[in-house]
Amino acid sequence: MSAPVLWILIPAGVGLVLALFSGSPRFTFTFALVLAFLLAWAALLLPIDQPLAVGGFAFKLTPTFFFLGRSLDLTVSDQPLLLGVWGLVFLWLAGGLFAQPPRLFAPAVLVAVALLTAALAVTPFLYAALLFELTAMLFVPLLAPQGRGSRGVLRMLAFMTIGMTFILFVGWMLEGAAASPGIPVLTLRAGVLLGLGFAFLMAVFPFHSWVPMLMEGADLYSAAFLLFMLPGAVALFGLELVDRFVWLRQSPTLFTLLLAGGAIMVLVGGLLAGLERRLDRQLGFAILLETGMSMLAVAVLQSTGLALFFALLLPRGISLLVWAASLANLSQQPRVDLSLAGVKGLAGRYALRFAAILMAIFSLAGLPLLSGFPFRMLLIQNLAVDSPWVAGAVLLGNFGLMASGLRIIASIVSEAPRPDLSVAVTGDELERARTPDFPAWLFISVAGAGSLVVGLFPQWFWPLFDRLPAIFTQLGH
Amino acid sequence: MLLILAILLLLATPLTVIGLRRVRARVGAQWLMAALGALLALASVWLLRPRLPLTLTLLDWSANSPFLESPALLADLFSWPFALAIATLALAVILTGVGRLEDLESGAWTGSLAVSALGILAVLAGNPLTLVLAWTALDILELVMLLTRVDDPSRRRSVVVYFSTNLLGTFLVLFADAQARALGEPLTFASIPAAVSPYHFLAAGLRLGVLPLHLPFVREPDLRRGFGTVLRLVSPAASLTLLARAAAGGIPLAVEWPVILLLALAALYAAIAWLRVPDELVGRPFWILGFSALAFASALYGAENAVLSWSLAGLFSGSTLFLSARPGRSRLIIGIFSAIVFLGLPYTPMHAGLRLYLRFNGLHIPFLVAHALLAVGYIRFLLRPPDPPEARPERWIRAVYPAGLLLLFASHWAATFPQLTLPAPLWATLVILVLVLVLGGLGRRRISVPAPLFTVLDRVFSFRWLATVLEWALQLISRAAAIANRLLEGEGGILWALVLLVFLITLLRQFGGGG
Repeated sequence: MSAPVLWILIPAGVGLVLALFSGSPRFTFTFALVLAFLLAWAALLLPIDQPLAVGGFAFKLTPTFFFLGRSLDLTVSDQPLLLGVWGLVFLWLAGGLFAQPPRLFAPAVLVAVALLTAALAVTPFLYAALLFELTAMLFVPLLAPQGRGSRGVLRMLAFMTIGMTFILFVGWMLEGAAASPGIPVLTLRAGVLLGLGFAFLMAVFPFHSWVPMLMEGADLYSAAFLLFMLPGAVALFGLELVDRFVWLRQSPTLFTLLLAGGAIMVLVGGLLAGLERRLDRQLGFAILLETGMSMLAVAVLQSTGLALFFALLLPRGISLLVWAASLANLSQQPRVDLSLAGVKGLAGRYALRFAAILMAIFSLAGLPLLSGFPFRMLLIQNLAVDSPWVAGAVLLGNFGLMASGLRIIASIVSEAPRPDLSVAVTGDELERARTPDFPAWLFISVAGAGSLVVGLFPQWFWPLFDRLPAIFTQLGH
Repeated sequence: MLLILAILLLLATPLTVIGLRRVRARVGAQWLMAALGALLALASVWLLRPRLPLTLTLLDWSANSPFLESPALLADLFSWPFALAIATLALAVILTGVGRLEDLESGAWTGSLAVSALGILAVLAGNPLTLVLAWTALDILELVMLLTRVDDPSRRRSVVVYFSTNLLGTFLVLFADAQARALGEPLTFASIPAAVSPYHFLAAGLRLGVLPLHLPFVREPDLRRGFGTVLRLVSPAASLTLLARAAAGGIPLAVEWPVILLLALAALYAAIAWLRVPDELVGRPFWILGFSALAFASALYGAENAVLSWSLAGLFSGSTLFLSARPGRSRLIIGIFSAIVFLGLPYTPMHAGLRLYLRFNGLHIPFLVAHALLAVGYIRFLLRPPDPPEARPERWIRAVYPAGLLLLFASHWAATFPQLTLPAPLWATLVILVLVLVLGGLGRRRISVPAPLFTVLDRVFSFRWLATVLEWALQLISRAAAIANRLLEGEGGILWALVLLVFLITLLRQFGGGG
């Protein structure tokens, strides 16, 4: 058996089959959870391209799988990444039990992650752009159930398609530029078009408008999952290009643009989150800020290496999961509107959910003690060496995001529960709201404890991130 | 290990007390456990004294990772007196609690001990990283405790504002760290570059409410006397320790006088307001603001000993006054001695505070007046008839209660012992004494700032108008952002995005030299 079959075709196939059972969400979630766990476990224990014996059965996971004349390659150096991805998928699926996303969520997640893995494994690399587009299209039925939030979805599809076109168009130009690096005009054009393509795919400012639009209208949990996975995969694809093309890798302009773009994204995302009045859109702006942080982590890779880029992903994945799950759950509560005015006085009624949301926001904003802090601090310290004002901008953007959390606190505690709601909500409803079921309580408690552990003991986790850059032959060393 | 013992004891004791409460142990047993824990914590702080300076790495972040610093503790002549102040306050609150029925509740003791533990962690922080971690832990604990105890929605909003300004202070310390990296100097408390110390001043000023002047708690939250004192004094102590350390760096001369002027206004405003409030608990925020402004001014002149002196006087003398609610001769005697200490007489703990006036100029006059007003107010509240006793106390209460106050007084002397003989301008002591007598005399003749005039002064100098202006500006920015969002998310959003992109490219080309 080959590794791509195990980590790409099997989850994609299982996802498609599970879609037929979407009428039983408990079954599909359980099945998907078990599969995600097994795939993570396999990434940890089954080395690729080495003979293995399980019981009396001997086999080898070959790294390449050929498909319609194209190849999918997963090598042993990809295994830490596969472990991280499937580990996070497991957590997101577990969070789905609390967030109650649409029934097709679990199957769609399996197929989407398989597609994104394929995008990073496919040769020729141009096909990656198509696979990104396919992933976005796959989520359309989840994002806009009964046409809700269709404006954001349409905008997302439009931007994804434009981005994909740029990437495809630039593909052959890049090959040409690689063949004849002495032609600066060619490489400049290819670079500009590539930059535009990535800007559209990753919702880089000013092409970011679809992200808050999507968060406002679409299913929150599905949108958050897509917006965590897709930009992450696109960023890895971008790094692969930088790794592959020496003229990109040695271009100082690229790193200057990443620095400027990252700083703008962090500032725009953070400040707009702080000024935003809707809780779901705040999440969208936080995702923009996170994209900026990733860009900055790549911009300083010459001093820190790529480990920092990966280190930022773990707290991001967990915080976005907790934030989106709690917010999605909150939006399903009786008569709750996800605006600052709509959550006034609700601190007592939904204390646990708000605690989880606030913990996630503060963690993403780099509040000391929480998981986001140590790695952000490291990034800011490295940025400060060459560009102290970018470091200042990052701190300001992060404080903007923190302000969004502070505004939520001010809203939920500032007024007594609205009298009309107190009357309208029945005693049973109130009791249910105050005491979330055990899995929810467990999920939030574990996430909180996990955030504290990463925040206080980052040195335990660093060796995990230190192994991940090995997936790149040039950048990893 | 000794360095962290007090913190561990203060954290473990509340857990034990909660355990006792769970098994329905008598309140007396719970109190005894709390007092024992606090006493042991105080003893462990005392054990540090002959071993100073001491350092301890709490968590080794640099192992197998690129982190340059690790959370660490440092006990030296700057931090130890603050640790002693907090440990003493924790014990004093529990000891004097027996004299106040409202404080005979284990929830207040456990809260006091936990806050004190985090306070000691903050003052013993060995580097800025540890300081921001400890500040955040303290801020979150304070936020939760205040929000769960304050019912009035407007006061809850004040709590959130207070938390926000504290967080802003924390971010400023992180910014200072980034600036130090830019200068190629990792930021430690051993050497704070002069270019970085202004950020530390601003961070401490924000947390103390001094710079820019702001008072989130113009009306104090309804907290018990003992617990409220711990909650309101420990957080400033955690910020004052940064001031003491940053003092060596000073401030650029170009901004020195405007900052001093702002501090003088803050000190005067706080001192006048302190004199006008009906009782010491209502006046607590003004007391904190007043002595913090004086400590801050000392820090700007690089007078580290004066910072320490003002800070400790504010903490110890303030605690003595705030915790003394029961009538009795012992209260009056200890209180009068505390008041005398606050005057800054030679060979008393506060005398070194007058080193603020070593480089005397006209801008120092408001500080002298503020000092005198704070002292007059202190004496006035001391002579005020105390709360009527609920019942005749038992004999052991009559012994334990003053012991708590005496402990504060004695610890004040012990904490400042090495600097009792530091020279300071004697003329300043005389001026303070004369001012206290004059202002006290005016007060007795009921001559004070007329209410309408004070209202006007209060409006101008409380800087609440600044908060209103800021709020208005924020609303304006918020509206502009909403309009921009609407444009980008509207039908013509893609076109607007392209226009913005062209604008950005033009800007980048401009700043990038057209390359």
